[in-house]
Amino acid sequence: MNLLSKLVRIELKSIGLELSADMAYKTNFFIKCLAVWTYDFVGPIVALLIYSTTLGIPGWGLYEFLLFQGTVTLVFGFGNTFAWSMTYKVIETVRDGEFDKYLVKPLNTLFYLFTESINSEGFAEIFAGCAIVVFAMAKLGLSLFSFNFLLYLVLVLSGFAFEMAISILVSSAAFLVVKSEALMNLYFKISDFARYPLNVYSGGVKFFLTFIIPLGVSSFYPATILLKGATPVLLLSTILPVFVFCAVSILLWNRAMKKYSSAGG
Amino acid sequence: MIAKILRNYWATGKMGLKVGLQYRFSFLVTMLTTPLALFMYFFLWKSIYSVTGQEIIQGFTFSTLIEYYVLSMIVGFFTWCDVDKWISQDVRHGRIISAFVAPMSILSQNLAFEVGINALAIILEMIPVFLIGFVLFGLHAAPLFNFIMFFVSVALAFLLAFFISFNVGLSSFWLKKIDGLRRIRRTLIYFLSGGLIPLSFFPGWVQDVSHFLPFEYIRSVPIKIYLADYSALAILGQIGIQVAWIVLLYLLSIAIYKRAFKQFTGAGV
Amino acid sequence: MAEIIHVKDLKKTFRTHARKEGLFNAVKSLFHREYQTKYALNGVSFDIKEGEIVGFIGPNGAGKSTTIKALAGVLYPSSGTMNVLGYTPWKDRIKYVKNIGVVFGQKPQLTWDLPPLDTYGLNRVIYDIPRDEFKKRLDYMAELLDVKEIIKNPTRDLSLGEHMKCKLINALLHNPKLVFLDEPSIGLDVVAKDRMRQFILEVNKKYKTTFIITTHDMGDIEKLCKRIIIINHGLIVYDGLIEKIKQKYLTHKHLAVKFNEKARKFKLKGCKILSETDCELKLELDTHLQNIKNAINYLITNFDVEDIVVEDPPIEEIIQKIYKENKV
Repeated sequence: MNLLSKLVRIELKSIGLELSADMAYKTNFFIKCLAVWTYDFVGPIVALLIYSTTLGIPGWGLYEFLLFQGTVTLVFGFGNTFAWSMTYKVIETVRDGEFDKYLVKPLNTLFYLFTESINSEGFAEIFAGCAIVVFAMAKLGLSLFSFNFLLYLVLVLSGFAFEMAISILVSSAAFLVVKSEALMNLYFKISDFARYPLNVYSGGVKFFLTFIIPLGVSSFYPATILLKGATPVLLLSTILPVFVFCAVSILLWNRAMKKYSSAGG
Repeated sequence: MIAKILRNYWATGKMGLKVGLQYRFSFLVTMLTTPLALFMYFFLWKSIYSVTGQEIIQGFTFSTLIEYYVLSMIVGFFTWCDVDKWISQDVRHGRIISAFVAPMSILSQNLAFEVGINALAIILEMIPVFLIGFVLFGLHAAPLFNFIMFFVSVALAFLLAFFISFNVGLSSFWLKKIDGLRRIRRTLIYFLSGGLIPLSFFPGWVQDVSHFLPFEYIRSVPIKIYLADYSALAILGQIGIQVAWIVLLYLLSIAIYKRAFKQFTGAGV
Repeated sequence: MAEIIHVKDLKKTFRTHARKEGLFNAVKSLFHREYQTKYALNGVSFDIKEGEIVGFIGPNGAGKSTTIKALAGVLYPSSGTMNVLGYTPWKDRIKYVKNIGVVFGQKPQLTWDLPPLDTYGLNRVIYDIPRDEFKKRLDYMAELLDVKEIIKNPTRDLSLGEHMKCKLINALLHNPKLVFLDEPSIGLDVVAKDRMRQFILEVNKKYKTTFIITTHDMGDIEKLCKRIIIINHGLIVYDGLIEKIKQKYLTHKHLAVKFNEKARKFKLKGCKILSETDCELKLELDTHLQNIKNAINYLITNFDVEDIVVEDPPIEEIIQKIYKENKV
């Protein structure tokens, strides 16, 4: 209980610090939030354009697709706020030789890294994602108090978990190989595929994005399940790959830490 | 006099090229990974076209639309401009003061450098995408006149993008940190120039307004030149408008620069 | 020698805003800002001849860098006139700037990812330096500073000292008539500092280059400058030869005495003990109260003295005194 409250206090303090430092560059903070919203609302605008000139994406009406887009924004927003900021920090501090400070404190390295690298403008993105989802749900007449919504949340949480896992994986790569920015670059290009429903892709691509790199949990599966419900099989087959990924990434991270500290930093 | 200016540009451009060479690995990675997006658009629009059942949507057949995205990617390489980042870094680290003490205008220094640093990137990234476009995505070879005018238009698009970025970069004299502004610039230009979806999908009134904004001349116009959406005369007209926008933004940059300099000396950076 | 710099009654005011600590104040400053006016220069005037090496000294915030920036053409003064090499620096910037060189001790100037040699090549073109003259000067200066090999390495791989030397060469390649050095010896070790000072003196002798040096390093002042200008609170507090300062303010001498026995305390008129160790004493002698000859005689007579060194107090002290006297 003591440890938990300590962790919570550190977390709150670091969010406070993050917000304070940013507000010092006042105009830039406002503008960064605006930039995030500009980026996040371009997607829905494109959706409107597509649906006003065509019959849209097979299997998805306009509001269903907006629900899908809101989910992507929400999950990737989480990733940008909490997960990828860590990876950027790792790459930066390893390059500058400053990473050692994370190993020296009497705190779990990963957790310390996590608290130190929260990206405050990402909250604007998470907020935007929620807003779009809520809007779409209202238009579709979906209730927040349904079982499907509960399943939706479970999937979204696994989406969060996957974001953490993949970012930790790439961070580990920063120690084990050189030029991990290239890997990150490649991953982001792949993750763009998750911005459209997986049913538009060929079977091979859909398989890849469900089981190999389970980006499906970021958007496609939560949205589909909220709209149509899920069988236990579907749930298991989409969430299990995420668990595997989490396990692999933690293992790889520990390996990377061992290598880094034994090599004398 | 002009020879002197050209020599300065050449020497500065060479520096940019040398710095660009240092980043050749990241260009390689970009070159290999960027074409992935083409597959994404391919699948997306294939499914949309199959449901809608029409051959032509907003003036595009499916194959022409895919060609559009290939060309959009190529034009995108030319118009990628980070000069706003360089300027804001120079201002924040104090290097800008050395730039002021050099006998070459800040504009010239940055323009020449940017051309140099992009030259290599453009060649490395553009050629593979052209090849992939021809081989995999059905890009057709444009008639010679259109092909040449395409490159003229793209070069002008680069200058246009440069001046917009340069003007945004100058704002760092007031704002110090401009990464938010830069992101808005990139998103807006990408969206309003037709990068995510061709401009013909936008409502009519938006397209009309767009003719009076510089954005469509950064991407959409060069692409349409390639796809022969304009008559030969109209092509020359479009190029003329591009030149007009460049002149306008150039004059704007001079005005902003004068005030930026005053701001800089006033705030004691 | 002709006068090349005329500065008359230069004034400059800045506007900045102050923010206090804490999250509450950070939020507050989003909606309301308090501005302060800072008077950086309050009427500065001086003239400098060609070939002089002048030191600019003053506490931080005194107006040194403001003056230098105005001289470099990078600052518009609020009022006053300035004529350098026949130009008004901020008006004819591009033409004027070809005749000056600037070295900023703490700011990056060479392209980071490339060797200094590349930056030199660029400057050769921009400053219209004829190829053979360029080669001659580069070889000469690289030899003097012993950097012939390292100028081929990327700037980011250079040590602080090497970086500084390369920046120095960068500023002098086009044979400018006037060179500004802003904190040139910051972070350099003793050997590097000495090398650099020798270099400046050499170049000054050979090419009659005028140097203006802003520095906190008294070694720079003593070894390089015959004349110093002291600025404080935006006004010139002293402008003249170092020798004159020493004469006017030198009322004390410092004696370092080494004994062959354990040092013992003593009382002598006008003599103050500054510090002591087992066998050494550092003394300060007020020359108005006691002359040096008598003091030395006293020490030799009464103690077993091994060595006595007589020095002027460090110029630092003198300048501190001048700052204090002129506090507005």
